[in-house]
Amino acid sequence: MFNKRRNYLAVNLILLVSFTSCVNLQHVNKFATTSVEALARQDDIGYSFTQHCLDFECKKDIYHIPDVTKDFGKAAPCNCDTFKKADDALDLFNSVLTAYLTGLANLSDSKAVNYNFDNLIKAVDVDEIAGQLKITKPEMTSLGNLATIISNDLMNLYRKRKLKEIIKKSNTDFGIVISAYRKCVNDFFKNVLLDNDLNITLPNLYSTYFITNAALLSPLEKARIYEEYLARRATFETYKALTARLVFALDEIKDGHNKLNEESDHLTRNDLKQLINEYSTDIRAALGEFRKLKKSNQN
Amino acid sequence: MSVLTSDQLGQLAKDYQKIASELLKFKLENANNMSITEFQDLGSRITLIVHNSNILAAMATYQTAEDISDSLNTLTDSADKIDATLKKIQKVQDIIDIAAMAINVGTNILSGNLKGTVQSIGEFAKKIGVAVKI
Repeated sequence: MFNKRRNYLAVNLILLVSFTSCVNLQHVNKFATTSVEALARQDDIGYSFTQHCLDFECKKDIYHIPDVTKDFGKAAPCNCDTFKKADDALDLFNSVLTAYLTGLANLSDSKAVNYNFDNLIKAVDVDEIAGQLKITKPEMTSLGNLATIISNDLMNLYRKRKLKEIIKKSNTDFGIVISAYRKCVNDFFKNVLLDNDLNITLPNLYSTYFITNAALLSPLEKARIYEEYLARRATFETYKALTARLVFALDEIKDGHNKLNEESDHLTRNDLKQLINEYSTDIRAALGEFRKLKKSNQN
Repeated sequence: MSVLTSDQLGQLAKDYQKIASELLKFKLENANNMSITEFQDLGSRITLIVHNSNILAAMATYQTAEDISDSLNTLTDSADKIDATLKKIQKVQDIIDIAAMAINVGTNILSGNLKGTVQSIGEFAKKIGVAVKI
């Protein structure tokens, strides 16, 4: 009777272990970790709304900017408050997304659950309880190992369930925040501010400088200033390219999270794993291009 | 608080950008037909228009953050919930460790090991966060 019961228990335990041990969330971890890495690149672009203000509004002489206030009699002191507020907003989007994705990365990390019963097993004196329970030391050790596997796997299931809950609950707001962030980075920062600096302000200022000082500049000075103009254009082209890489990464992060939400009932299915890994690979590729661009700009 | 939405501000920024861009094109194409003063004057106007475009883009950016403050708060709550879950997971190991320590205390008391009892109670108290002076 006792043996029958023990066999029944053993079969159930084996079933439980085989059922639960398939909880592998490495693909979610990789996706979230890579996404966090991509978000951190915002600071590496090297340009911001505030930097624009400091360069073009405050240190006008570095871009040969004539004093427009004298022509229009309008005071235009160097005030970067509005630009600082815009940067604060971008930082807010970035930090909220980073905190959330860091949480997802931690929760899906296989190292998050690694229970150890060694001390507990060591503490149990098998000789002391031999009277009440017929159990040997090797059996006790096996029991400890089994307890470790079961509790780790059960907790992994709990982790998976929580992850599913959180992804499902956050997806709409995650989509709203990342879309808003993307809009600000792409439409307002890249397509307005950077485009203005690159395609309007620089040619406007340099052309005015050239025409105004045409008679005063030697051919050598003209050549030097023209080179300076081209170098500045190249720098802004790089800022734009770096920003485009960040925008691409944001699109991939949004789509990847959306996919996780759609398939949150099958987080450990192989085809989903493959798909999410593809998003991670694309984000990583964008990060590689970002680094390459940054390096080429520094050289 | 802005009376315009972030989209309207963004659209205005693009409209100013377009005007500045057209004026610059005109300025460069007609450089030979203008006096230096006219050229400078047009350049200054372009600078002011493009400045407005930049300011509007900055305003559109922070207005966007204000528009979606609810979603930002929800996502922050989610991040906090994940932290709470991770703390719960960590607590399980603490419970396992506490169980081991409780058994150690019991074993030491039963075997009459005074030094061991004192030491294991100290460790036990430390683990469960209680300051015990023996």
